[in-house]
Amino acid sequence: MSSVLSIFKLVKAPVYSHCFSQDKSLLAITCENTCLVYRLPPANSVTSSTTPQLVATLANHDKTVTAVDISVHGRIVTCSQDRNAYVWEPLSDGSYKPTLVLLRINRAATCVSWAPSGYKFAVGSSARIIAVCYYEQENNWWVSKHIKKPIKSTVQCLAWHSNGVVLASGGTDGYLRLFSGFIKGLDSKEAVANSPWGAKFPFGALVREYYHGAYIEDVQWRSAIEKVAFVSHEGSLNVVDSQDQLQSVNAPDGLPFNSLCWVSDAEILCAGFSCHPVLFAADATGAWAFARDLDKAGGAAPAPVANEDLDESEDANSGFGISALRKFKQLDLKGKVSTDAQESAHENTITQLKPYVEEQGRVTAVSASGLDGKVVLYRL
Amino acid sequence: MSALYNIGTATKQTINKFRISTGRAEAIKGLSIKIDPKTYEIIVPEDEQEELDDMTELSELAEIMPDNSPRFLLLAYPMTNKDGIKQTPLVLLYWKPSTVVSQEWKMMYAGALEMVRNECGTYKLVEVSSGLEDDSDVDELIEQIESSK
Repeated sequence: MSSVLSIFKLVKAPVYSHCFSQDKSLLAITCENTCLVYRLPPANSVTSSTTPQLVATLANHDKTVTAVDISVHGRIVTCSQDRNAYVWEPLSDGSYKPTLVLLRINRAATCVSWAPSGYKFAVGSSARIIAVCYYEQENNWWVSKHIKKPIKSTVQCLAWHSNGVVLASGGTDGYLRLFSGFIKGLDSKEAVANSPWGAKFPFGALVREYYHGAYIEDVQWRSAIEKVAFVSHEGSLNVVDSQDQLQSVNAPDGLPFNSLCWVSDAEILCAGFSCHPVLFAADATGAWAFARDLDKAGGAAPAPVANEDLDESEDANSGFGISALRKFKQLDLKGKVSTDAQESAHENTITQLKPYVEEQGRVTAVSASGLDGKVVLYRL
Repeated sequence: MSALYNIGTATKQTINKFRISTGRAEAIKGLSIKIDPKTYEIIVPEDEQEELDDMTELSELAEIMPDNSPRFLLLAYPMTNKDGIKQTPLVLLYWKPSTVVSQEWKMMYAGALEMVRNECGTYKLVEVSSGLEDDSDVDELIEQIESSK
């Protein structure tokens, strides 16, 4: 009935980024200067009373950790405003060994993403550079190669295509760009041989560029159908395909989204400043439109009889939970504030959405981290 | 001569052949010289050389040259100097990108620099430490090569 599967109240600080390990047994969140790793029971046994167990605190950064990602091998990479990234290798006793990665950037790192193979990762930064880092076997060191042109401003989001070569990036210069992250020795030319985006590109080559205008907050690939979707700061969701066809939908309440997640080939879930996830769907012709809200505040509350005549004037306010007007009217009428109206699970902006349970190509549960220090699991 | 590095006669012959054959070349030609990390022998790597033979522009160097190891590159760069005379001077490029992590390798190549310079007989040496990541780096390199001897 309720779309909220579980609420984890983890920390008292904003969680800017979170990530699950591949088997969903570990949850890593960023918390100020550290990254906290929790253990969870398997996905199908998580209930509303599950409490994650803290198993490791990764504390090596000097400034706020901005992003965390876990590779398919279980390695954790964290990047921070201190211009560094650390790769944390899991040891057999459950602790993690950090390895510093010299990114060679002179501004904060903003986002990080492992390539699907787990042997390289890309870091976006405010230094107008994307650093693609891979492990040098001969020297026992992580090397970072830069993609600079033609990025003109902070890179806010990165996403690897499933072929591990094409890298989508969006930032505050309003452009969505697709770059080649091809590393000689790590990637093979066969991976891109039949790609509709192009066949041969050296490292750092610009494959596609789309001007959007507003800050691009998040970008995600749907590699199977060769489409990439992004959400931007003027409150829209956009989907582009390899033929450069772009479609745009606006957020229903006008508030921009911070993150998105492909649910299936024709459904995308977005979340952001409205504190609840919103589902968009494409119809048979491929046109995207708003489908439904999940866990919207002030939604399914049965109105008490005494408040019937007040309802019309407050219809417009129902989208934002208990409005101040209703609150004082109820306080005046009944001596207490009615708690019948539902609050949304997140009390503050949602910062990142990640798929949690996936069955037969369709995501049936997602996780969302927010500025209120909670990670909430939603059921679709 | 330092007893640490040695140049085989085959390598010397390859270098000589390169110097002679590119005297009247129309396109940019490069010869890659590397030091074997185990034997400290100065050799010409075959696989890089093949890719270099296909090179048409300096900006392609960034892709062909390794970004974790230094190299010496003997370059024949055809240009028209300010008097209008067509020349193809030989320039020795010391490829030392910032992505090289091994200090040992950096020192190994630095030590062999003079020896390779003598062997190639070039007057001009240009150090490339940017890894040619940016277009402006390539322009800078061209400027350095073309500035009069």
